[in-house]
Amino acid sequence: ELEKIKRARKLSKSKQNIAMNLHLPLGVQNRPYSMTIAYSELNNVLIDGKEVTLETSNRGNSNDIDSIYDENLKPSNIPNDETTLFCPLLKELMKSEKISELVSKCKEDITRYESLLISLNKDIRTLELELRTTNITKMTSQASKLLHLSNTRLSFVSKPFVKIWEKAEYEFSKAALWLFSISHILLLTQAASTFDMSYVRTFRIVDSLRRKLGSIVSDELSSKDISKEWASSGRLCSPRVLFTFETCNIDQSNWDINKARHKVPPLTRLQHKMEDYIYGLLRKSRVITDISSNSLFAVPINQEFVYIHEYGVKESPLTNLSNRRQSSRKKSQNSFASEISSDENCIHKSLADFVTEHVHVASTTGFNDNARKYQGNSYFELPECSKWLEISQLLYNIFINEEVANMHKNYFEIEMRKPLSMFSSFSKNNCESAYPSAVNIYKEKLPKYYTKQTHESKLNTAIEYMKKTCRGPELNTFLQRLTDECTGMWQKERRLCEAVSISGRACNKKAHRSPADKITEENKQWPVSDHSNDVHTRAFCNCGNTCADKPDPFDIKFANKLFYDNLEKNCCQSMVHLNLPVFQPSVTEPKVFKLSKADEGGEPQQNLSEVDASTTYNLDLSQPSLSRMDEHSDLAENQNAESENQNAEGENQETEFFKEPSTKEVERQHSTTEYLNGMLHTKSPGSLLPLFPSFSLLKVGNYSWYDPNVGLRQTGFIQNSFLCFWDVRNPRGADQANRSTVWKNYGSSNTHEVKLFLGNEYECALGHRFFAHHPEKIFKSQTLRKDNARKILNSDVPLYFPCPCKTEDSGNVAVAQLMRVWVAIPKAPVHVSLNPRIRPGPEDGTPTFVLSRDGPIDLTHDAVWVLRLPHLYSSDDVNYLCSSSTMNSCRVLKGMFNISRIA
Amino acid sequence: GDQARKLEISANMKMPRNIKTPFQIIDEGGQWIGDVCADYTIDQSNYCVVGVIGGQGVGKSTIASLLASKDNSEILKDGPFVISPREIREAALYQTAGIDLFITPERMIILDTYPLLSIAHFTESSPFRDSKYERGLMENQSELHALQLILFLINICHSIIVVSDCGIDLNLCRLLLTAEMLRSDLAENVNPELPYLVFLNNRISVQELNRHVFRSNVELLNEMFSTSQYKITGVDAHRVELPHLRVKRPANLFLLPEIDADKPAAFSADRGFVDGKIPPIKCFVRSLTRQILGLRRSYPQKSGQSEKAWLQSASRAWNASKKSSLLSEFTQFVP
Repeated sequence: ELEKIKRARKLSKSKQNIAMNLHLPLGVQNRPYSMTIAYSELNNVLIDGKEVTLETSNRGNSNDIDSIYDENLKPSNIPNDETTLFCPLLKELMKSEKISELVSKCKEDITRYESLLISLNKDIRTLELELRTTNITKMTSQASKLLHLSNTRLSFVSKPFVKIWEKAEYEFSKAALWLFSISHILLLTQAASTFDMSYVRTFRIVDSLRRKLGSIVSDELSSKDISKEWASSGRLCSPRVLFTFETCNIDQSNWDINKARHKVPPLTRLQHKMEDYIYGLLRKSRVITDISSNSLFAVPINQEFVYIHEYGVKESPLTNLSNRRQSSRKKSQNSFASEISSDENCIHKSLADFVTEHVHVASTTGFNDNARKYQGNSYFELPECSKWLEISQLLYNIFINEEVANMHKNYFEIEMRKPLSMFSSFSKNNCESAYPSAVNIYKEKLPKYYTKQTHESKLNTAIEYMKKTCRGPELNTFLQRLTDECTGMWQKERRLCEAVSISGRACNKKAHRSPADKITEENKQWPVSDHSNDVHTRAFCNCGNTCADKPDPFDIKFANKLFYDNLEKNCCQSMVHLNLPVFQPSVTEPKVFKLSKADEGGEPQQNLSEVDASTTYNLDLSQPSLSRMDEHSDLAENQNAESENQNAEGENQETEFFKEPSTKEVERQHSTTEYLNGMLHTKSPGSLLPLFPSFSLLKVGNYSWYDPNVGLRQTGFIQNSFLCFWDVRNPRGADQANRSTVWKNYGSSNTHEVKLFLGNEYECALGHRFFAHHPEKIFKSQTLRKDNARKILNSDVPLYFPCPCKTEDSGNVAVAQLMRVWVAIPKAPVHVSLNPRIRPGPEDGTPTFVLSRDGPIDLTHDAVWVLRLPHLYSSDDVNYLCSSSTMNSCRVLKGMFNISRIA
Repeated sequence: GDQARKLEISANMKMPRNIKTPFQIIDEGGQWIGDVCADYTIDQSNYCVVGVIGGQGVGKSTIASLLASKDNSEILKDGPFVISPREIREAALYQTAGIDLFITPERMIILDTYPLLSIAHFTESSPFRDSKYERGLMENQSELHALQLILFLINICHSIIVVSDCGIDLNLCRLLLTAEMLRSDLAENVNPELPYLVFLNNRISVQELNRHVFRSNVELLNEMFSTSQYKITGVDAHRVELPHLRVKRPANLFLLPEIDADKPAAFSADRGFVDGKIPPIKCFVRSLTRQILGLRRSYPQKSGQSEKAWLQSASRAWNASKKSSLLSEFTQFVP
């Protein structure tokens, strides 16, 4: 063994030795912290007689600060793609395939390392590797240019700084692990004037991982043609780490050895003091021990290992070494001794001298940095350059190359990444302990099913709690987890259907989709069922004979049609129905008509007037019949007078409904591709019709079906069920002959009078029914059953009445709504036409709903007709509900019935 | 403003005794001994608290003195804080071992602190003997003591001056952000929000005066503190003396050239500063003090807390930061 070492040393003397510096800048400004390392023989390299000039920054004496800066920023200090391999000599080196591989590996790895600079320093025979690491370097080095060059790297914006820090430390530690395995000397350069103690932590972590990976490394190395010791230790030697500080607060330029108290220059004393402190720290943390081969590195016992740059000199070590090279070139070459002793005028040696001393030891005797009592042989390898490159590359693959390193991923995770991510670990632990409470805060007092609003407010409370209680970079991850978990739970199991019934009550079922709902991305997975909230009202069927519970309706179709259709099946289905005009599709997928935004503004006026123009044309045709009606009946006269008044206000729409039934041949073309959203009203645009009828008009029986002495034989009436009389006198001037023949069959003693019956039936939510034969009051007395219909015919009647019943619990007045209009028409030559116009709200802004676009509907004689009115008035997604403020203004406009002809 | 404040002070109480030399409020052993300052505090709430932190020998006491001196022309001769003499610096030692307090006539309370992450401080003095972090590795302990100090300062200061002599000190930034993470809300925080941070790069090199470098440094600060609640804007640094350093998205980064102890108020020529380009050191100092004082206008003062109450809450804040449960929780994760 001894022989081997001796031989190696002998060999090395005869060879051109080249040391290698690796700079690992983690610093700021133009002063990277750097690690310089390693020592290796490059004896096979042909320098080829070429002059190798490293570009050196020139402090110059330019007066322009910016130009000084720009010179300092020249690519000699900042690598970019062209200058990464800035040394011309390296191009020679790269002719050797293995180096180029190594270098290209490093280049590929540029996401983690800014670059790997390799330069050959001929004069002090070192190969200098400068490894610039990761993002922090990028952000902090002088490289504002780099900052812009590397936009693709991790950006600070999205991550807390401590996360970036952790990642950078991990990458740095990985690189350090490699460097400690391939170097003889590491130079740790710091910009500050004090030692950054956090390096000690890195050293400890690197050391523990190095031990863990020891057997893997030696297995890999044992197959190579290298010495056993090298293979088993996995490194060249126990490397020396030298510390340099670039800031100095002591100006010793005026120091004079003859006047000073101490004979040692102050800066040197400071260096010694620093050595004591650093040595003490490293010993205490067990980074260095008595036996150097057991430690990650060693510091020399008898040599200086701390170098402080002179006051006012702030240069990167690389520059310094290069400068040194230039100056030393003039002197005698190849002699370390002469270099060290050079320049006697200078009381502070240069960095190059400082490093060269160690290089000298390495190239002659090798390092033996054991404590005195353990003085013995320590292993020191001085391999040939090609061998060194081969092994370096192998170790690079194990330690740094991501794919290969994956094989040992566990070691890296446990020994390096985990201890280095103390911020994340702390934060994770902190958040994890608070997380269950946050979830509980969310779950607290939650109903079985709940709405989005509840979900969001609960989630916010939980998030606020997390934000208040939890710390650190993992908080956002946990907030996301909390949001995901709570939202998931709500979406999957606890989501309440958010449909709201027409009366404003929410559906109380789990999220589902009613058959009537539109299918959206969100609800397409939901089960299909009807909305329900367990609220029921009592309601009667179309003819008023059957009573049933009516679920709180969620859509207008159910409210106005489907419920009644269901009831009809067992009741009035067989009766004569008068079909009301509805939309007839001509296409398979008809569209709902939508008011465009513009239409809602000033525009619709114009559109309407266009519609009106066509209506006016119809009106002209119907005009004669109107005037004829004038002659026929007082009633008609009255009606007309009134309708003329209304015409003055309502213009053409109003008169449209006085259109003679006979003029219906001028029917407009109804749209067959677009239907009306909701119900038909006087301002419904164009020729659109609703999709379904909201009214029902049916004949419950012949005239004799109604017995005026008994009233309606139906249940639910709280007082009486008498209709009121409507006497229509035989109009003057009518055709006598005709009259006599027609009227003779009519059983009345007075052949000049026809007796019709009329009734406005109101129904409340509890199923109470009553007739109101007066626009303002409900008659309560039985004796008044012979009410005359004149009052309700000649005035607007209310749509709602307070029901005489009181609701059981609260005593609130129940509201009864006009639900049915009855008319009994005898078998007489009287033609009654029906034209209900309902305004379910104040006069301003409420549309007037109508039965048909085509005007009044003729009712046949000898029949009792019942018009069932809609439960709900709705158009264009606006529901006109009864409220206490609008209740009194909801009216059914007069002129519902019209004696259109007496023949 | 000044007139009104003087009136207010004289109306409420008799003038306080003028403080001549700083008081140590935390001693070398980490004990609160600041109650002696009570005589110098008054019952008024128009004051601001400025803490100065930084590594060993970066010039904390110098900066504190600059802020405290009335007349900056003789900066280093009549400043109240003791600046490390040459012998101390040559022995790699430090001057300030605990925390010193000084109150200016303008009621600016200045806190000069022990050096952060200093081996010498940790080895030579025996601070925080009663601390439960005593056992353990030195590098971790020193970091925890640094965190203690910052936790204390962020609860009682309106602004903290972060001094560095080697550009932006990433370690200090990391400690500040860690302290933010570990901050517990004391009921009596002077400042319900986190304080202003003013980064002061001392002994700048010529390169740091370059606008590109300055810009990238400012950018770095903005990025680092982008997710933080610290207020890092507010000082309009160098508007007058170095107008070319204007940036779009400013941060409180202040540059200060070397103030040579032996040659007061002068640049040392070998630092490479170019005549005519750099304004005299006086301008920098005047601008710095003006800006720090200017910040106080925007302090969200906790209503009504007087100087006296501040002193009491500071004492409690110190003990709280020493016993911080979050800090001890964090120590479990430090490798």
